[in-house]
Amino acid sequence: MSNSLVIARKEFKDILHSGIFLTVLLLLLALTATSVIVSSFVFKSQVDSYQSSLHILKELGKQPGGPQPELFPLNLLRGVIDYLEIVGAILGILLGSLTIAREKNTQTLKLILTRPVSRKDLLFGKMLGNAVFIGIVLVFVGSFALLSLVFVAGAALTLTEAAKLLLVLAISWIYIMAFFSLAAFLFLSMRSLSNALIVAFTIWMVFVLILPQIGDTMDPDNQVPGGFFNSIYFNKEQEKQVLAKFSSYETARNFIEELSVTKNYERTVFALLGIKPEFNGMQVPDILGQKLFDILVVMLFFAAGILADYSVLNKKDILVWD
Amino acid sequence: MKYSKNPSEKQFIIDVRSLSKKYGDNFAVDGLNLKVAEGEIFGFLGHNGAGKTTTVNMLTTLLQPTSGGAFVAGFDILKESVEVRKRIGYLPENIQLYDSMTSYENLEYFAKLSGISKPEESILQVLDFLDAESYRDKKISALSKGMRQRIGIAQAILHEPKVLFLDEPTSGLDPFGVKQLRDTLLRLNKEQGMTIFMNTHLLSEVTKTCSTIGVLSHGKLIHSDSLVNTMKRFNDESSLEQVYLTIEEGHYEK
Amino acid sequence: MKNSIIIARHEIQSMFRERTFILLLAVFVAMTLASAYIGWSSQHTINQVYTAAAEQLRQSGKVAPSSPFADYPHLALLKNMIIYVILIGGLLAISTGYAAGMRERKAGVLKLLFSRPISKEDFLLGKLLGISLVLAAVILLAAAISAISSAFLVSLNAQDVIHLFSFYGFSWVYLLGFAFLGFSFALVKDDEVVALLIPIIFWIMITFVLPELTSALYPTGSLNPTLPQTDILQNPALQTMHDTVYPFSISEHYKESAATILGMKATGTAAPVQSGILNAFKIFCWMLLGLAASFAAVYSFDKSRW
Repeated sequence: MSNSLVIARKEFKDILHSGIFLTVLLLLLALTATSVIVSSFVFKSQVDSYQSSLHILKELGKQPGGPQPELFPLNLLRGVIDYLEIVGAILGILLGSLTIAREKNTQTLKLILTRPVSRKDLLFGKMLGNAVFIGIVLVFVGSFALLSLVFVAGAALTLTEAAKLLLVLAISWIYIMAFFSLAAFLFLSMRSLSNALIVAFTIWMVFVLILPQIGDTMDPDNQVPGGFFNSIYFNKEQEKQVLAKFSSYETARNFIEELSVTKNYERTVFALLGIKPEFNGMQVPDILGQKLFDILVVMLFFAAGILADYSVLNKKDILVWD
Repeated sequence: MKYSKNPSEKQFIIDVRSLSKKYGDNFAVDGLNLKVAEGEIFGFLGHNGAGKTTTVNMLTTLLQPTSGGAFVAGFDILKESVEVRKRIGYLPENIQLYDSMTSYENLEYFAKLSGISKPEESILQVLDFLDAESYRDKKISALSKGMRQRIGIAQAILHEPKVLFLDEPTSGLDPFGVKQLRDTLLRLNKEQGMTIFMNTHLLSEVTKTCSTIGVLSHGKLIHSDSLVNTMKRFNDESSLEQVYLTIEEGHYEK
Repeated sequence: MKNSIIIARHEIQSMFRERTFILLLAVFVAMTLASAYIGWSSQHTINQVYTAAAEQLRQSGKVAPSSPFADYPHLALLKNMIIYVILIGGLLAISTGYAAGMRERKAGVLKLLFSRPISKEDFLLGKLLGISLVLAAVILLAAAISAISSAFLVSLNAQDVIHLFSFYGFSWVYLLGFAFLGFSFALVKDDEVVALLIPIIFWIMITFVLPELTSALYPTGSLNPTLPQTDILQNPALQTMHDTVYPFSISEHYKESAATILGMKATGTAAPVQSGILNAFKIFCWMLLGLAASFAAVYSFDKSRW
């Protein structure tokens, strides 16, 4: 345990010293702010257009029809989640690759492993150091998002909403750590570092971008800008009735999406943030209950990564690198 | 410094028994039997690819043997690898260390991983022993190859190991660096009684440093004896180089 | 010139032996194959969804609006390819350029190479030629796959085939920009990982961040080939942001031009789309920018360093 702590502490210091992480952190914070600002403007423009149509209706002496757009502050974080999906996964990959690359480049893994340090200690120490760092990054992103919500969108959060935000950060942490362990595995198993990085990015692209994208573009509603069902004035109920006739197509589409851990992560956090409107009024335990499968998949992905890291690190021949 | 010295107890601190390592169909090390007595400076000779580094990797518990085993400092490298690691020091070929950290930070890290909880005193002693105090706060990236080598040795002896494994320690060093390294090894052996196991190509160094030698060829040990006996056996040869070539050639002819 | 051709030939040979390149190529080819089918199947289904929805409207006594999918062009089934070029093609291009810039450094033969009578110009020309030809081969392969797979699903006429090949030619120019960028950073950056990371950050900015700023698109929304609905740009702040950033949003220009070439204007957008020629010109400028970066990198790098 004390060995793990020594390794974790060094790991953390190394990360802080390297310029890459400051870059990625700043990038992530800038993206968070941009995203919340853009979303707030979009919301304001929706309110303005509602107000102006209300005004016109009143001048014509008519009663307003539709309800006023309602602000659920957490909805404004959708773009932030998109960035955590994309850039957060990259952060995980970078940390995972560099933690191994550092030792491979300097051959110091050999030195460490001739000390009385078990390979479990080594893995645990490295994971711990990086996990703490990722946790801190997420706390930064979360606080930044919160500040942007309060100061840009002028929204105040309830206690439940704050709890939801915390849960979102926790799941994001597992999601990023899963990519960390994936990259560490690739860097441990492959001889060439840049090849390992390109393979990591290829896997990232398939899971994070391509699989969800296939599901998304197969969605009938996404075929027309602004939504197909919207364009023919269908409500959710009517949409459901029509889509029920295409259940096998929808199942295939859902299956493709389920192949991607990113989609499982997205479904969970979108439910928590109420981006899917049906979850907006729901209690936290109910949301978690409904999204249990998705949460489990994200956790499983992380667990598989740790196991893969451990098994490859435990393979003694791994040290014949030079 | 308090490296334990016990020359009266002449026991085999390295005891290798039928050790083999196979990669695919090829044996890198093939049924190696080897004994090194405590307090020796053992020179492990052999051509490129003979299996010297693979042997050291197995003895330092970095690599799992395909068959056979070994005892180092009385502990089984397979079943008691942690105990073995507590008692050995290791200097790989072309030591690099963490570039962005100072010498002190590097040493502190490895000391802690060797179980020294308050390493400052040991580090200062070792740096003093190696005449390297002035590099203490320099970053590794700012050190020359020779200086880096000295910090590498410092990390290997900080925890007062019984056996020190060195893999081609002279490679890339200038004559001054080679002499300094030789002096250090002789002092460690003489003053601290440390057993030294050294893979090397440099026969002139073996003559000046080692007490016993072993010759490895294609994974097999083809000769092992004290340096004095070896030279006596081949008394018609003028230098160790001649002796070495005769041993290797004799083996090929067989 | 002779030296450049030798270097280019060596580059092409080495690239097709690299396992990571083959991996990315395999993903790209697989998605090219899949895209025609995905496009066809979703189009097919959406038509049925429209029929079912229209039927439901008629039953409740309402008039069904005309189908938004009635006059879809043949090549619209390749619309996902636009996104795959941006995603997979972009990463493939960066890794191609990066590998070309890194190859001599990693093999430690840069000094050897320049101890022969070779000028920096020979080296640069050879590398750029090699990269361009490798990507041209990739693009030709993808074009052939798309042409064959589309021909199975819909009937293509000669004009469709010309448009299809123009689309891929245009995509080639777009990808060259990324490849040249990857090449430049591989030459000048000491750290292997940083050298790859910088062009990837560029790619993220161009693919996700700029479209969010110009069109208030969610980052994952940029992956939908259906053009964005932009009436939200009535907000003056968003409008200003759009006007400022749009000229630099290369991936949007590419998407719009590529959609036009595939004959997909029918999907319609409220966005103030510029003239096709101006858009295409910007993609060409993007490629030139990458080229300029390569020139700067080759002239500034120190041959004796690696």
